[in-house]
This record gives sequence, structure tokens and C-alpha cells, in this order.
Amino acid sequence: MSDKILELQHVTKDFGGLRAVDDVNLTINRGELRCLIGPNGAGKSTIFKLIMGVYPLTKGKIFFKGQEITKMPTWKRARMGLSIKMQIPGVYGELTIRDNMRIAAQNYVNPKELDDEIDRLINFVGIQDLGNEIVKNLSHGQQQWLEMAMALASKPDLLLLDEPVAGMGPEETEFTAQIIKKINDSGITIIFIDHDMEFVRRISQKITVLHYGKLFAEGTIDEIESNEEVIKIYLGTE
Amino acid sequence: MNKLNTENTVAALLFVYLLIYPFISSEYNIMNMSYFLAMIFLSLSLSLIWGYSGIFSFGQTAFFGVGGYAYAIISMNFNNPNLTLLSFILAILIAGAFAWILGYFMFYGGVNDVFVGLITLCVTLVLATFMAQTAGSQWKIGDVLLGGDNGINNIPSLTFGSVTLYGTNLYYVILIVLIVIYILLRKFGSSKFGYSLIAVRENRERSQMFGYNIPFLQTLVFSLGGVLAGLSGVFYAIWGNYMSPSSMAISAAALPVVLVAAAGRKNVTAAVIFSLIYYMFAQYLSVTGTEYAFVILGFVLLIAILLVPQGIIVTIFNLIDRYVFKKS
Amino acid sequence: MGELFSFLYQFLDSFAFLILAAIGLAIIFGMMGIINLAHGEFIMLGAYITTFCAVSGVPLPIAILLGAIGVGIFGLIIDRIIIRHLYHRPLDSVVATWGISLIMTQGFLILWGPTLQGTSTPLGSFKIDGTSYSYYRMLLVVIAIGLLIFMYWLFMHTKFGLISRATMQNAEIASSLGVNTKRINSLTFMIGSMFAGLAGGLYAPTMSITPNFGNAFLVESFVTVLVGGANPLIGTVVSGSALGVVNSTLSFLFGTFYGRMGLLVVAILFIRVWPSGFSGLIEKKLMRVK
Repeated sequence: MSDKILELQHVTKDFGGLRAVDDVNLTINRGELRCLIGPNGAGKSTIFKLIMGVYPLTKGKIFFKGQEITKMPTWKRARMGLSIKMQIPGVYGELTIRDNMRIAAQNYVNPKELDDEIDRLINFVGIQDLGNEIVKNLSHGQQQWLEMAMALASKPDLLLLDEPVAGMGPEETEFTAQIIKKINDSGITIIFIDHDMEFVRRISQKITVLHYGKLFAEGTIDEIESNEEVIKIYLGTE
Repeated sequence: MNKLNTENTVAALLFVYLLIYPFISSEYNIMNMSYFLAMIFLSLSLSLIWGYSGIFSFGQTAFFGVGGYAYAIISMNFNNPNLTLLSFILAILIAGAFAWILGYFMFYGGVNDVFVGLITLCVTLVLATFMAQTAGSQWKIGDVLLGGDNGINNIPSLTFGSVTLYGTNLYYVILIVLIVIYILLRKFGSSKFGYSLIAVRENRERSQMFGYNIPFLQTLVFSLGGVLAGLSGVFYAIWGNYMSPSSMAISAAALPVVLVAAAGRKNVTAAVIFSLIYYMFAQYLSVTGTEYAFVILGFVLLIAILLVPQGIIVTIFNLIDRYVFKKS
Repeated sequence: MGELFSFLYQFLDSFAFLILAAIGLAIIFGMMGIINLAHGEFIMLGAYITTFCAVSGVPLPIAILLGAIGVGIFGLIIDRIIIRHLYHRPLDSVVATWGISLIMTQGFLILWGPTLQGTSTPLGSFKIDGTSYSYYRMLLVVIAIGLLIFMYWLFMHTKFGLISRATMQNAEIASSLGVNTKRINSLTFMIGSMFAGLAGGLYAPTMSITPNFGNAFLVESFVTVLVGGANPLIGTVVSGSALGVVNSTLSFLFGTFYGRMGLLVVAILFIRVWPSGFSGLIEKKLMRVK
């Protein structure tokens, strides 16, 4: 069995006249905890959506667990073990916490074990004290934790996290960092997007930098932070 | 879980009342009530697809028409009272199949929201327009003339052995089927399928990422809605022994939407109660003048959408829940 | 030669009908995201006002103008009371406007009975190859085209037009730039209503005046608008032309029933393939050119 869990080959995405993702080649190995960074508009969230199948590719191929998924519908990719926590919380605001979890989990968990599994996941992300609140009443951070629990319900092989600590204070960020590390330790491969370099340094092993939709640089946190070109695209006049 | 709330209490009281109704009413009233009950299935079909899955359809009357006409054509071609039950079943299945095909055409093409409403409205009108011009003698299927605007008369009643369903018998058959379907729809809400439909309704794109095959679920529930609407049409044909294109006119097409919206589309009990009230009220006013019924209905709708967008009956349920049963 | 003229006449007649019927609706839908199911009744109101005036001795052109203005004012009132709560809520606006439509149809039936004494079609007719054609209906074609040109001028070359288009594109930004979006929306609804009233007034001399007058226009106008897409100008023109061709060809060959069915079927297929209508298609092309 190959070590590669995700492979993007010459992936390009155009929106009308705008090239959002430009000939990206990306390989993620099993068990990695990879971070995608880059200035705003670099195409990071778009790549996540391409992996999930929300948008069709303009050019290129995507392979997941050795199988080509370029033309596969989103729901099949999810059933194969691909999960995502979105940038803007992808939770069902009008429903309760438990109903949210139920929807996320019921395709993957035995009906008899469903309630227990929901309890376990809610405890794992630390929102057990919120009762069965309507989700739109939760704070942004709480919604993000809920969404992570929902994304874990399918026991995914690859988890995509789009800005998991956006808007969180230092304690919440630390807590989230611990959860993410625990998830990765349990064998789940993770790719995440974030701007908080402290957070990135705290948990990631390898970093990929995107710029104007192109792959710009790859390396460890130290390599990236000392890379002059990378510093330029963040601080330079664009 | 505490099942004692306004909705369940009202539903129970209502069905008890309906069960003893024939003992306390005239034959004429029983006949009318049978008609009202038959039409409730039409509202229920929309409650299922719009309330549970967020699919906005003006097409339920099309399936009503397909069901009714299919029963007429099949049973009259068989020309055998013992085969009316078979005709009944075939007619409902045909309505469901037609809905499946239309659903496939729409949902697998990514059509959603308001455009589903438009396409289904167009389909209903195509059907109504087509049937209205089938007046000539060349327009027949098997031995049955389609009859154009005049429709089909002398549609046979449903027969079981030596019993022909008519009057009180027919009333009880329709009522029992209604109660069974009502209970199924309520139970549905907490089943896996029910939750899948809620996922479709609440956020289609996000739900795909949780493994839901959205177009398939939409097509499936749309076809079940077609079966229910077809059931309404078949019962109507059996009740009145008559079927015509006017049941698919544009005003008829909008009525279920309007009733379910005003009642509270996410609540099956509300749809039943409000539909029953409407049909009884319209019948009562038809003696004095139906125009008023419609004017009142118009005002009711306006008020409902502006003041209580989640539905009149639902709001009443919630109010009583809060003050009588002390639920929050 | 007579056949060709007959076909051309039918096409232009159909085209004018679709345009005049749809323009009011297109403006309201395109600018405000509202589906006005009472559109038919607004047209009816225009026909009633025009007929009342004309029968009382007012010259027809003035009667028609009064019809348009009357419905415009009516629309303004309806907007203030009801519609302004429903901007960009298409499903809710369907239910509410259906209610308005019911009240109007049945209300008119109660107030003035099933038919009204109408006026006859002015200007007379001419014959080619034994078939009669109406001068008036040809005049309607000219008026329809004139209306389109007026709309183009209004939306492309006036301040109001610019503000409307900005509001349509992005209401929030327009608002932050100082545009009174509520007033623009009210004005838009009023203008859309006026066009509906105008259509009613123009066709009143050619049809019988009943509370169901609007039904003849309702489906066609909806279908034209939704096939046309969000841009009231381009969408309506292209859609009116395309559907007009389908309708007139099938009517010409097989009769009006088939013309109508053909129009509906083509609309169904079209929306299925291009849900954002002609406007969406054309916008995509424009985006690529940039």
C-alpha cells in the first residue's frame, strides 16, 4: 500500500477569466500534519474545495488513497474517508447540537452505537457542557469545535481543516492545537490552513506555501520562515 | 421523552372525532368529509417534500391528475370490479414513476429552489393544457375516451369482493389510510431517512460532504410525494367517479402550496388541520358564495407570511405549548 | 408570400405579447428578487382602469396611460404595506403575492361581476390573401420595441438607471455609498407595476374584460422572465424572441394549444440546462471577454 494518501497532479482551476489555482502538484503522505499557508487569495480554500469535489477541475487529476477521484461526486469522496471543517462554519445553525452530530454521523455509525459515539465526540472536542443548544446560538469557536466533531464522525482517513483557530483567543487556540495533535496521533492525516504562525509552528511538521494559485515553496517551519522569497510575498508590495 | 404536547393532543382528539363522525352525521356530510380527507393527502405530499426536504413544488396537482386519470383509464379498460384494487395500486405507482422521472430530470441536472417550482408549474400546465384539448374521439387510451375539458365520467368505485366502497365504507377506508400515512410521516421524522431529508433541506452543499447523495435523496422523496399526491387523485376519482383537467388548473396547483405554507410547512399535523379547515370552510361558503372563501384565504396567507412565517397552526401549537404545557 | 407574412405577423405578435407581459415582472424579479404572482392581476387592474375610462369617453391613449399610472400607484401602496418585508425572499414572496392575487381576482368578481363592458379594437384591419390582420396589434409591436428602447435609455443613460443597476448588483455596497436602497426598491416596484398596468391597458381593447384577464399573461410572462434570467433588459429581449419563435412556429403549424405547450416544454428544457437563463449565459460570455 502506497504511502501517499493524497496527490494533486497539475491541478488548475479557472473561474471565468480568473485562474485561482495554477498547475499545482501536491503530495501528502499518510499520517502527515501538513499546513497550507499563503497570502489572502492565494487559492488555499479553493484547493480544499477541489479536493472535496465542490468545484470541478479545469485541468489535472486528484488521487485519494491511490484511487483517482477527479470526477467522483462529493458524497462518494466523503464515504471514502475525506472530511472537512470549513472556513465559514459549515454547521446546521437552525438545528440542535445533537441533531447536527446525528446528521454527520448516521451514514457511518451503527444505529445502536450512534448515541454513544455522539457523546464521545462531543466530549472529545470539549463542548459537552453546552447541553443541546441550537447551534446558531453558539460562539464562533464553539461552532468550530462542533464542526470538527462532525468531521470526525465519519472516521476519516484525511481531514481538511480550514482555519481551525480563526477568531480564537490563546487558551482556545491551545486547546484546539491539542485536539488536532491528538487526532493526528490516532492515525488521521491532516491538512490545515491558517495564518497564525505561532499556531502553525506549534503543531505542523511540514508547510506548503501558495501564492497566486501556484505552489511557491515547501519545507519545515524553520526553512519557510527563513526563506527570503516567502517573506517578500507576505510583506512585499503586491 | 414527554409526548404530551399540543400537537399530539390535538391530533389524537381530531382522529377520535373523525372516527366517530359517521355516527353523528348525515350521509351528505359523511360524503363531503370523505372528499375533504381525500384532498388532505395532496397537502401531505407537499408537506413531505417541502417541509422535510425543502423542495418547492407546484407540481403536486400534476401527480394528482396522473393518479386520477390513470385509475380511470386502467379500471375502465379492465372493466372488471375485481380488478379495481389492482387499478388503484397501478395508478399510484404510475404517479410515483412519473414523479421519479421528473425528479431525475431536475435534480440530477442540479436544478433547485425556485426553479423547481417553475419547472413543476410548467409541467402541470402542459398536462392541463394537453388534457383540455383531448375532446375528440381520436383521443383515447384502450377503450377509454379522454374527454378533453369534460373529463371522464362513470369512473368505477373501488370494489372488494362483493363490497363496493361508497358512503360510510369509503369514508372509513380513506380515513384509515390517512391515519396510517400520518403516523408513518410522524415517525419518519426521527428515522435515518428523515434526518437525511433534513440534511438536504438545511444545507445541500454541506450535506454532500457528510456523505449524502443529494440528487438521489431529492428524487426519492419527490417520487414519494408523487405517490401521495397520486393517492389523493385516485381517492378523488373513486369518490366522485369523475376526473377532469380542471383539477390541474393553475389555481388548483397553487392551493396545496398556499395551504401548507400558511399552516406551517415543517409540521405534518398542521398541514392536516389547516387543510381540513380550509376545505370545510370552502364547502360551507360554496353554498353562499365561494368568492369570499378565496378572499379570506388570500388575507390569511398574507398575514401568515408577514407575521408568522413559520406557520399559523405551528405558532398556535407553540403558544399553547408554552402556556398550557409549560414547555419552552 | 401571404404565408410568409402570416408567419411573420404571428411571430411579431407573439414577441410583442411576451415582451409587454414580461417587462414589469422582469424588472421586479431582476432588481428585487421578488416573484410577483399577482402580476396577472396587476395587468388586469390596468385593463379595468383603462376600460372604465375609455367607456366613460376618455380617449383610448389617455385611458391606457391612466391605467398604467393607476397600477403604478397601486403598486407603490402594495410595496409599502407588504412587499418591502419580502425583498430577496423569493419563496415567501410567492405565497404573499399569491394571496394578493386571490384577493384581487375574487374581489373584482364580487365588485363588478364576471365581465365588464369593454371597448373594441381600434384602427381596424387589412387583408392579405384572404386573411385579416389587425393594425392595432401591429402597433403593439411598435410600442413593445419602443418600450425596450425606453428601458435601455432609462437603465443605461440616467442616474436612476445607474443607481438601480448598482443596487441590483450589490445592495449593501450601494447603501453604504449613500443610495437610499429602500426608496429605489419602492420605485422599482412602482415602475414594474406601471409596465404591468400598461400591458393590461394596451391589450384591453382586444380581449374580454374579466377578473381572470391576467391569466392569459401570467404563465407566458413568468416563463419569459425565468428563461431570460436576472437582467431585465437583455434577458427579456432574447427570451421573448426565442420563445416567440417557438410559440408562433408551433401555433402556425399545429394550432394554439401546441404553441402554448411548445413554449412551456422549451422553457422547461431551457431552465434545466441553463438555470440562470439567457442573462447568465450572456454574462458568462462577457466575463470571458474581459
